[in-house]
Amino acid sequence: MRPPLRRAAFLIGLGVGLALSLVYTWVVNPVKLTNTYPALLRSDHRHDWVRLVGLSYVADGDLEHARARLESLEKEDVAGALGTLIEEYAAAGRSPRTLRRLTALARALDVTTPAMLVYADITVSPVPTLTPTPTPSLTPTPSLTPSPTATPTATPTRTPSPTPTPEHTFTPSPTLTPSATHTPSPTPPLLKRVRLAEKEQLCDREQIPRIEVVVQDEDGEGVPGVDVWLTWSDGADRAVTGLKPGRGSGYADFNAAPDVGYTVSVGELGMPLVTGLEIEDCPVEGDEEPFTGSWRLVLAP
Amino acid sequence: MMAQPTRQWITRAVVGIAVGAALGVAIGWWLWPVTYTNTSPDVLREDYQDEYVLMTATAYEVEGDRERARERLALLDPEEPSAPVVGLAERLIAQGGSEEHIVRLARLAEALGVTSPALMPYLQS
Repeated sequence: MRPPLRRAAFLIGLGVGLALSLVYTWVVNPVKLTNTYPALLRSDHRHDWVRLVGLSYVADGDLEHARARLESLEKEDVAGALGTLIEEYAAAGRSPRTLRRLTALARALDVTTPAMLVYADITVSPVPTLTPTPTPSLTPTPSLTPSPTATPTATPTRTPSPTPTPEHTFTPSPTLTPSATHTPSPTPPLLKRVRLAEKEQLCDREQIPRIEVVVQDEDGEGVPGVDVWLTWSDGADRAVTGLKPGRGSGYADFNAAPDVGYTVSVGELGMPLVTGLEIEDCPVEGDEEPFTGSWRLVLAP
Repeated sequence: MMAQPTRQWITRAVVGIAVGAALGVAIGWWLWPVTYTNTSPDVLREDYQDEYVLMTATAYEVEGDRERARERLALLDPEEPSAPVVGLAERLIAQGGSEEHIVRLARLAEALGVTSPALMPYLQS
């Protein structure tokens, strides 16, 4: 056999062997990954992973654990899934507490969605853990330093000093004074005080009959994140104020039908603020075709 | 008897096949192995699978959606979705794990229609 043919035999064998072994290693018996991590999950599973992390944070409030669980994922994945979850929960009228938690997680992860802004506004700041107590301060101040015979150290001592006066010793440290950011959200007391302040019929032929509710505080500012309930004889609906930022932060609305008596309340289905509210025809002139109007209710203290 | 040239030809072909196969194995398993980017939770590392099961139980506590929990767990064990829940709960009990986590897992297992003697005390808490 001539040398070229011998070389051809080797090359043919090489090609056949290579092809067969690649078929085996890539198709028949490929590397099996059994120890993967969340970033390698299919996109729908990755999104569900983020969703699970979010819901776990709602239950536990453990930010570090949530961060660790999301560590391997791309920020886009986290932002997309978490934003979707918040939007979905807001649209479904989930409890403000749940949405506040999700919002807090999103903010911690630098994720922003329109719906979360509503809940971000009313997040209650942590209550100061150091509570001033009426225990007399034991730290002597220069003005309270007793006679020269007293020990001029800062060591707390219960040795009565003749000079300290109660008004000095009971003054809490400035760092313990609750600041404006520690003031609890005005929402709970506000909800107990709001009443129907204004009721206006809106007449627009192009508009589907609806009931608009605006919740305002003492200053006439819209209050976001308030549950507004619309109930009728055989049903109920809930909306949360502020989900349509273009209409104002205290705004929520419901579609309504004629000949149904509606009741409006806020918060946890508490005392009704408006009862027997019905969609009515708007006044028309001459031969104009009658049409039904909507209601705009302003609830304020 | 086979002619000498033919024998040489066959020998070279066999050597070529052997070298080619070795190269193919090296390429297919080490240099450019099949890469998976669209995996399912069932191939996650065990600790991630545990997290997945625990988070599913927690999500069930928050959402109360049993069928969704079942669907999630079916990705780990299509035949018996509750098995990973019971397995993890019993493991946590044996290891002295968080009681809160065990309670969540026990509640989800119960919702999926599975009870275990080891989990019963946690359902009463």
